[in-house]
Amino acid sequence: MQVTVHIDRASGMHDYSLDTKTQQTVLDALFFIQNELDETLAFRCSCRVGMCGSCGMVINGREGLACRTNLDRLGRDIYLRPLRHMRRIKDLVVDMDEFFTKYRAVDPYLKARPEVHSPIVAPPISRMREDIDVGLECISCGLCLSACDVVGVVSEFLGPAALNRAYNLIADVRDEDLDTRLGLVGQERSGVWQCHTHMSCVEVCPKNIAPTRAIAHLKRKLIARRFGLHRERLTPQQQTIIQEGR
Amino acid sequence: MHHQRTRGHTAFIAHRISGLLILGYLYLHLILLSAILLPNGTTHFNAVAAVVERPVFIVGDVVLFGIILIHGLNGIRLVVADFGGLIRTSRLGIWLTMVTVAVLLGIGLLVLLPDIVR
Amino acid sequence: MATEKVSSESIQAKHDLASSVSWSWILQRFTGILLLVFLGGHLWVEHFMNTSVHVVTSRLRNGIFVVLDAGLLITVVYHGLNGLHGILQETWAVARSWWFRYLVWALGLVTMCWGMDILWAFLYRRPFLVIG
Repeated sequence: MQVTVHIDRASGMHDYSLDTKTQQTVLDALFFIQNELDETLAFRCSCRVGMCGSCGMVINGREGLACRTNLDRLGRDIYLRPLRHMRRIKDLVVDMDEFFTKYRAVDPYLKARPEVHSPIVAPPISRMREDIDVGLECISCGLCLSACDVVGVVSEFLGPAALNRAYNLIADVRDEDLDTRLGLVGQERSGVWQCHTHMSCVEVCPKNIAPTRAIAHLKRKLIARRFGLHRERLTPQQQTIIQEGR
Repeated sequence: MHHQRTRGHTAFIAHRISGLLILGYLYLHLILLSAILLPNGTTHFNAVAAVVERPVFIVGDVVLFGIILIHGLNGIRLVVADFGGLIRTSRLGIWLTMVTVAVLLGIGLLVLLPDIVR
Repeated sequence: MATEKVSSESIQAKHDLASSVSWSWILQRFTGILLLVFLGGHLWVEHFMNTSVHVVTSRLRNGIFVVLDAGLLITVVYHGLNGLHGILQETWAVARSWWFRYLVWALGLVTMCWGMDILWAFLYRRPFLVIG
């Protein structure tokens, strides 16, 4: 199929006409353009199979991974733009610093309770596991941050990926830093209260994570804590899991 | 092609605009009610009632009812989302909201129709 | 579009659990749910019941209708102005100044008094304050 790829480059819009075969992806088209038509085109990619999260861009007005977006359904005119809310370095390459600064701000790693010694086995069917499982798949591609309209208005807002990560650690019984984490995500300008529940992040996430769900959990958790409705202590089952690892 | 709005963002814009319109109407409502009160204790109530019962004002009532429905029902959807519902199924949520608005607005229109076509 | 840079230090600078709940957020949901009852009731009463001035006045003498209308007034003013405040805070730096919330509260209280005065006029056939 004959298509025209319109790319928003640092120097303005550039149009490239090419012939595509079925089952080709946007990334294939970008490689073709770079190899055959214009070697100065810059874009980022690594794994080509939707695992690394490098090739995020705005494809026909919607965030997506170039390597996971099939050309067949995009029509004859394909518009490519760099991710929003991040500084452009060149063409389709953006500075991910904005994303990782926010990600780093929530201390995105486990701070284990002192009594946790051995690796913990959380059975796949346990409630504990269900709460966290869906959110663990994040590949930090930045699509959600680009899709989030709140970030465009309130620049301090931590954004979907960082809050989703914070929720995972808050829901993790092994973590000892619950209060600090909750205090952080409950802040007025940067925290969960800024979320407008557009659910754009849920729509664009290539890993089917629902950050809006994590944010809703955090809001309820903060309110429950404020009104003393939360469970202060771990259940005996959780205590056993922490001490014995299973 | 610029950035394409998600359904949730469109719903949000509708929510804001309808909210602002309702707030504006609240003040209009208070001004109108104040205007019919007289210091000596009587009111222009019946005279004003005769005016606002004209079909054009009733059509305005239907429009206002629609705006209130959009804001109220979308608001319910957002509260449901705060309890974790209709997030992965956000399309269903927005679709349900629109259908409910349409049905209730239709009922409202039927109820007010005799006052519009007299 | 590049946004203003934020550092992790500025985000982590101040956070304590006591102030990590947004009252305006909670009350916005709470009044929103109440409004479904109050506004639904108000629209029902004003349409399906007789609306001549004598009937309205005598109906208001029944406590339940006063509660309905006063409750509607308080919740709608809070919900509306809190929503407006939120929109302004997002888009206008002045609305984020410490004193701005008092301005909004003042406007809200004036509006509530105004509405109560109208309600009073319907109850007792004269405004309590002399407005209008």
